[in-house]
Amino acid sequence: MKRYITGFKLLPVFAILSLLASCTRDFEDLNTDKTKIVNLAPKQLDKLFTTAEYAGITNTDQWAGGYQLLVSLASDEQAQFFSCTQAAFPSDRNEMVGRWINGGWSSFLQGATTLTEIINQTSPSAVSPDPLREAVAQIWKAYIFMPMTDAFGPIPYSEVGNGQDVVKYDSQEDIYMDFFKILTAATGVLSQNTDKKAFATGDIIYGGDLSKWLKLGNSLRLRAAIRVSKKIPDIAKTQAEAAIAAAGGLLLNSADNANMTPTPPNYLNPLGVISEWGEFRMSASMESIMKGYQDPRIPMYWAPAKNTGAFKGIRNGLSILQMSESFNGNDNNSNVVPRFQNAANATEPHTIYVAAETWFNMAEAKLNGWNVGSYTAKQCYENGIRASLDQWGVGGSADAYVTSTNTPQAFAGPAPYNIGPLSTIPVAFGSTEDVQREQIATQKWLSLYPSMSGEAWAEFRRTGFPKLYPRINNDNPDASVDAGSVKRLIFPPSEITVNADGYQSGVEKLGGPDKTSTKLWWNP
Amino acid sequence: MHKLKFLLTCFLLLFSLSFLFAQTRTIKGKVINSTDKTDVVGATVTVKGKSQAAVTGTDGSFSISVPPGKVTLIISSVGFTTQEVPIGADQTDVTIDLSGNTQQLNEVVVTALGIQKTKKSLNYSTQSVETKDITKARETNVANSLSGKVAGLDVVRSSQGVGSNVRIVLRGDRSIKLSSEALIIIDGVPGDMGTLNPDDIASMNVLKGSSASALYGSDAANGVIIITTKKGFTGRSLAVSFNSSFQAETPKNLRGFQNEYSQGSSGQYLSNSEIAWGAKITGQTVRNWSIDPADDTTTVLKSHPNNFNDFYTTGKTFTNGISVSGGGEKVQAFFSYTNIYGNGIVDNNKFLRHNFNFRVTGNITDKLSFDTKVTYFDQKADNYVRAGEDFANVNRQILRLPTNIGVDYIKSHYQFYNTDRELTQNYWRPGSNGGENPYWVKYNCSNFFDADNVKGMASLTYKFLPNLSLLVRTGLNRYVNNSQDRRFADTYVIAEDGYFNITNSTSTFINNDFLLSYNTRIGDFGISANAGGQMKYNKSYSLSSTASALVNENIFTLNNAQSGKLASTESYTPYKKNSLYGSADFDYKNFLILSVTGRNDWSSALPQVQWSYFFPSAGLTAIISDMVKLPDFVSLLKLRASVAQTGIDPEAFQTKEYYSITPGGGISKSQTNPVDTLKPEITTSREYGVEFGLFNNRINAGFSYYKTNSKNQLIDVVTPPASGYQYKFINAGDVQNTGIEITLNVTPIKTSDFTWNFYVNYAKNKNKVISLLPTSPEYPLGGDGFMNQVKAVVGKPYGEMYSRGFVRDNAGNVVVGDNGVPLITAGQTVYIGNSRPKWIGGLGNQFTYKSFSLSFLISARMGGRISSFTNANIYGDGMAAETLAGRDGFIVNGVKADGSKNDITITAEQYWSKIGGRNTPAGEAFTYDASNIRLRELVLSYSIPQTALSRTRIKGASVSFTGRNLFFIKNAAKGFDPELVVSTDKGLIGIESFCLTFTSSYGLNLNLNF
Repeated sequence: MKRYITGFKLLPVFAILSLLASCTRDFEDLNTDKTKIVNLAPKQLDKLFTTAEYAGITNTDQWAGGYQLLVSLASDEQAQFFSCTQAAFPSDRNEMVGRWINGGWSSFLQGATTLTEIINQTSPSAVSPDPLREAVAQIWKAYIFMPMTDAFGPIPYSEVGNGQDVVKYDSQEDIYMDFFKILTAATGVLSQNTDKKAFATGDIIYGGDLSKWLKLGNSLRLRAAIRVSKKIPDIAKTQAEAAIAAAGGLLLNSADNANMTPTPPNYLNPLGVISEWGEFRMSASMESIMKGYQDPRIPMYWAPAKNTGAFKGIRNGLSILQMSESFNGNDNNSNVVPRFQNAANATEPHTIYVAAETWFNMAEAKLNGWNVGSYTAKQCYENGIRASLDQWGVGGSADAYVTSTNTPQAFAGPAPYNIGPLSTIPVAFGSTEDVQREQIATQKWLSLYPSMSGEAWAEFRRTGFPKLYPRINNDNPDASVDAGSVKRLIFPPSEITVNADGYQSGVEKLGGPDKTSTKLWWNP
Repeated sequence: MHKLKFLLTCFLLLFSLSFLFAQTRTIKGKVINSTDKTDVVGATVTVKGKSQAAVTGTDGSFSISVPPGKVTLIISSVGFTTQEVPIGADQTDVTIDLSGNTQQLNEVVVTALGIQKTKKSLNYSTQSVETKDITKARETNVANSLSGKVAGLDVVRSSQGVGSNVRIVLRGDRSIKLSSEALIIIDGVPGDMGTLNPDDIASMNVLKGSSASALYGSDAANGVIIITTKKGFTGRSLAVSFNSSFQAETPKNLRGFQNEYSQGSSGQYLSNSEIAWGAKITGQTVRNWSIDPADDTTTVLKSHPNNFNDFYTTGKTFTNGISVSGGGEKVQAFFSYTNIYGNGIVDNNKFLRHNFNFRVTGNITDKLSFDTKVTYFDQKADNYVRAGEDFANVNRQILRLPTNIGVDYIKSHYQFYNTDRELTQNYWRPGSNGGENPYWVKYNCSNFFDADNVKGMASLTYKFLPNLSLLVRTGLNRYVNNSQDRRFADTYVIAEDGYFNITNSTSTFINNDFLLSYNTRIGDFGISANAGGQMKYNKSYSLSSTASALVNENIFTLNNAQSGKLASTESYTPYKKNSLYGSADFDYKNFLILSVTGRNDWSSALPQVQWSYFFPSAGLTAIISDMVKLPDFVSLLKLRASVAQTGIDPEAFQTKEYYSITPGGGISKSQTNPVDTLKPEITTSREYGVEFGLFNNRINAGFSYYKTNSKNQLIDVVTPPASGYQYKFINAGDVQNTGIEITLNVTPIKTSDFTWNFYVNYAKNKNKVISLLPTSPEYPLGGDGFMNQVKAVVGKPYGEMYSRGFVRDNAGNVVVGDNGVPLITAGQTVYIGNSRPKWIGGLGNQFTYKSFSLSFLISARMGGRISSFTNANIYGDGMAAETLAGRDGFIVNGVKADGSKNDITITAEQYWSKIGGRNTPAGEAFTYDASNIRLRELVLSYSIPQTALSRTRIKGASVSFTGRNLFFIKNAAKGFDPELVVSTDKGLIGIESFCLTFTSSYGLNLNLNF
C-alpha cells in the first residue's frame, strides 16, 4: 500500500518525462518567422521587381544611402553637376573614401542580386519560365550594371548571386559583350509582345508596358555601342546600326522617358532625400555653361541663391576652410529646384533615361559614319535639344536656343575661384566635326541633369567634353586638380578581405593597379 | 504604523488560514558570541525535525514558535559551529553561547538548480557577495555594485543616464556572435538584475566557469549569478524594516576646453560657424548668431568657461523602502516595497520606480512545503540621455558648443515663432547636418520609457523520505516595455517635419522544472544525486511604428503622420527548449568528492537534425586538511579540478531563408544565407584550483586557473555582397580564454572593539582567437561607423580595434603632404589596440570600531585601449584646450614625401581639421590607454547601540554615508571615464562617443528595524 502511494506520487515525474519527449513536435513551426515569406508565389515576383528597380540604382533604403555614396559623392562631383559644400566630405577633392565605396557597392548588389533572383525564377530553366518578365529583367540588368562597370571597370557580373564565398569579376569587355547579347535577345522577345505587360504595377518605371521597355532596350544597346566605339569600332557600328533599325524603335520621344516613381515610405526620390541635407550646390562649370548659353532650362534646373536671388555655382574641390567662406556658402549659391527638395520626394519621379540622350547618341553615330537612317547629325543634335527642352517644359524657347551663338561665360568671383570660360563653342551646330562632337557631348551632359551623372561622367571620360573647370584642390595622390584626372573609383576595400580571390581577379582584369589613375577598357 | 501592521496581518491571515490554526508556544532568546560576548546577528534558529525557523535580529535576539513539549533548537551561523540546544517543556527563554568556528567548514552555498552544497565540497570557483555591501552601495542597478568585488567579473556600463544597461562578463568574452554575458537566476528562475530591488536580496553567489553551471545548459555557458531573495520567518511579531536614502550625483568635467577663440575659421569670427577656429576673443562687437528677428543683431564676444557646469546639474535619487516579515509555524511571509525617484545630471532626465515583492513560504503537511513569490516592477523614465553620434544626443551638442556662445543665452533663445507662426529652432547654422541648439534637443527631442515586469514563482517540495525529495516549480516572467520618441519639427535632418516613434514590446518567459533529489551514506561513502527536467517557453512580441514626418506641427500621434511617412516593424518570436539533466556527487569520508553532471537540451532554434544536444561535466575535490594531519595553523587546504562542456543555441529563425515585407507591401530578399545544419556552440572548460585557510581562517585565499575553448561558434560571416548575401551563418572558430583568479581575505586585527578586514581580488584573463573562418583570418565585430572598426583576428585577443592613422615612412616618421599637413591612411587599416582589459582587480578594506564601520573599495581595470570619437570631434572643431597650441603656425614633426625633413608651417586648424572631425578622423590620434584605478566605493556607517534603543520599539538603527566613483587614482584616458561606453554591444566596447560625463555620487542611508 505504501509502495503504491509512492508510485502514485511519482506519476507527475513520469508525466513530465513523457511530455518532454513529445514536445519537439511543434519546433519546426515555432522556428519559422510568420512575418516573412518562405516561398514566393509567382505574382509576388512583381513586388520583388520593384525592389530590384529601386535598389538597382543603389537605393536600398529611404535614406538613399547607396545613392549618396555612389552618385552624389562620386559621379555628381566627378561630372561636375554639383559642388560639395559639406566640410566633412573630402570626395570633391578626389579623395577615395573606402567606407563610402564599400557601402555603395553593397547597396547596389542588394538590388543586383535581387534581380538575379528574378531572372533565375523566370528563366527557361526555372520551374515556371516566364520569357516576358525575364526579358524586362535582362534589360534592367544591362541598365543597372552599366554605370557600375563604368565606375570601377571589372566587376562581379556573370557570377553575381552565386551564393559562394568567392565571386570572380568579369572584364569590362566581357560585360559589354554580354550587354549586347542580352539586350539583343530581350528586345527580340519583347518585339513580338508589345501589346502585353509584365510585372504590372510592380514595375515602377513603365507599369509593365512592354513597348516602352522595348524602346529602352534598343536605346541602351545604342548607348553601349557608343561607349565602346573608340575601342572596338566595328562591333560598335554593327550593334548601333542594329539597335537603330530594331523593331519597336528607339526611345526618341520625351513622353517615353524612363521615370521611376517613388514607393514611399521605403523608396523616395533619392535626390529629394539627399538635397535636404544641404551638402551640395550648383557647380561652377554648370554656371559657366548654362548662364553663358542663357539656357532656358536654368530656372527649371536651379533655385536662385537664397541670399542674392541669382543663379550661382561653386568651384569643385574646395578645402574645408574654403567651404566656410560665405562666397561658397549654401545660401549664396543655387540649390536644385524645390521639386527635387524634400517636399516632393515622396511623389517626384526620378528620371533615369531621357529621349534627348538617344538623339545625341544618334548624332554621334552619324558623325562616326554609321547608318542612322535619314537623319543628319544636325537634326539629331537639335532634336536632342528640343526633346530636353520639351521635357523641362521650356520647348517654346527651342527655336531660339538651337540657333543661339552664345558661348560659355567666365566664372566670376574672388581669387582663386574666378576663371574664364573653358570653351568657345556656341549652341548653334558648328561646321567642323571637332566642334560638333564637343557640342553634342556638352548638350548631352546638360540633358542628363540632375539624376544621370553616372552616364555623364562616363561620357566625359570618353570624350573629354564638356570642358570642365579644374578643381581648386586635389587630395588624391593618384589624381590632380585637372577635371577627368580620376579615371575610375577604386574597388571597395572590403572586397580585399571579404572576397579576396574575387578582388584579385578584378585587379588582373583591370590591366593596371587598383588606382584612380588606371584607365578603363573602353577609355581611349 | 499600527494600521499598516494591522492591514498586513489581515492580508497574511487571508492568504492562508493555516496561520490561524497554529497551536504553538513561543521561545524568546538571544544568541551571543562565546568568545567576545557580542550579539550574533543573522543566526538561523530552527526547531529540530520541524520546519520552523527564525533569524536573530541586530541585537542577537530571536523569537520562535515551537510545538508543545520538549524540543531541540538548532542554531547555525556562518563562522560558528552549529549548536543544538535542548529546551524544556516549560522553558520560554534561553541565551545561547555560540562558539566560533573559524574553519567555516559548513558554509553552504546555493549552486546550480538551487542545490545547496557546502562550499568546501565544490570543485569549481564561486564567490559570494555580501548583501550588506549591495544594499549600502545603493546602486539602482545591482549589477553596478559588483564591480571590483568578484574576481574575474567585468562590468561595463553604457551612458544613458539613470537606468542604463550594464554588461556583466565572467572570465572574458567567449562567443563571437552570441552573448558572452552571465546568466542571472533569481530564486531558481531566470531573471535580470535591472529590475531587482537590492533590499530584497538575501544572498548572491557567482558561479564562474561552465563546470559550475553545466546543469543550466546552453543559457549558462558564460557563468551564472545565483540570487536568493528574502523569505519571511517565524517570529514573535512582525519584523519591519525601513530604509531611506538620498544620493547626489555630481558631474565632473575631465576635459579641458579652450576659452580664447570664437566660432569661425582661419582666425575670423563667423556667426554661423560650428567650429571654433575663429577670432581671438577680446570683447569685440560682432554680429549675433541668433536668427530670431526679435534678437539683437550684434553681440560682444566673450568666453564662457563655465558652460559645462552651467548645463549639467546635480542628479538626485531618493530611495524609500519598507519590508515586513513574519509568520507562524505553517506559513511565513515577506513583503517589501521600494520606491526610487530622482533625476539625472541633465535635469529633465527623470525616473520613478516601484518594486513590490510578496513571498509566502510554508508547509502544508510535514512532507509537503511550498514557496510562492510575486514581484512587480514598474519604472517610468523620461529623457534617457542618448549616446554616440546621434543628433538628438544632448551631450554631443553641448560638447560642441563654441566658447563664445553662453549656455544662459542659448537656454533662453533656443526657439521662436517665425512669420508663418511655426515654432522654429534658433541655431547659429540653420539646417546644419549634425548641429542643433542643445536646449532644442533637450526640450524638443524627448523620449519616454515605461517598463513593467511581473515575476511569479511557485514551487512545491515533497519529501518522500528524509533523503528523497521532489521539487516541482513553475516560474513566469513577463516584461512589458513601452517607449516613445518625439521630436519637434525643425529638428535639423533627423526630424525636419517632426518625428514620432512608439514601440511596445512584451516578452513572456515560462519556465517549468522539476528536480528529484536523493542522498545517502553507506559507511564511509556518500552519494547525493539529483535528476530533473525543464521546459522553457519564451515568446516575445514587439511592434514599433514610426511617423517620420507629421502633418500638424508637434502633435505626437500616429494618425498625424504624413502620407507615406508611417512605417512599422513587428516581430513575434517564440522559442522552446526542453531539457533533462542529472547530477551525482560521490564522496569518501566527505574529503574526496567526485561530481558528475549531464544535461540534454532540445532547442527549437536549431535545425531538426540538431535539436538534441548533450553536455557532460566532471569534477574532483580533495580536502587535504581533512585527509592528513597538517600543521595547526592550516585550517583548510583544498585542491580541485573540473572539466565541463556547455553549449549555446542560436537565436530563433536562423535556419530558413526569408523574403521580408517592407513598408508599403514591398518584398525584399534576405541578405543572410541560412545554413540548415547549424550546430550549437560548444564551450569546453577546464579549471584547477587550490583554496586554503590559515590561522583559524584569519587568512583565506583561493587560486584558480582556467582554460576555456569555445568552438563551433555561430558566426554570421560577411560574404561577398555579390554572392547574393551580405552574411551567412556558419559554425567555425575557436576562442580560447585562459586565466587566473586570486582571492585573498585577511583579518589582520580582531579584538572585541576593533576589527580590520581586507580582501583582494585579482583576475587576469588572456583571450586568444585560435581559429576563425575557413575563408578569412578576421571577423568584424562592429564599429561606430565613423572612426573605429572592431574585429576578431586569428592569433589575437578578441576585440582588436582598427582606425585610420598617420601615413608613415619605413622609419616610422609621419609623412606630410605638399601642404605640410600629415597624410592620413585612406582606410581603417591602422591597428590601435585591443579594447579588453588585461587584468581587473579590487582591494576592499573594512574597519569596524564598536558601532562604527568604515569600508572602501579601490577597483582597477588595467590594460586595454579606448578611442574617443568625442575628442576627434572637439579637437577637429577647435573646442579642446589642446587646440590652442599652434594657432599661429607650427611645423609638424615629420618628413615630406621625398623623405626630407618637413619645414612647412601650418596652423592648428589645418592640422586638427585633418586629423579629427566627424567623417574621417584618424582614430590613432584619439586612442588612449583605458587603464584606470578608482576609489569606487566608500561607506561609513554607524549603528545606534542597543543600549540607546532599549526604551524604544526600535530594534536596530543605522545610518551610513556612501560615496561612489569618488575619484580616479589613475586614469590615462584623456578627458573621459573609460568605463562609460556608447553601448554594451560587444562591437562598440572600446569606443567613447559623446557619452555622459564622469560622475561621483554621495549618499546618505538610514535604516530602521522594528
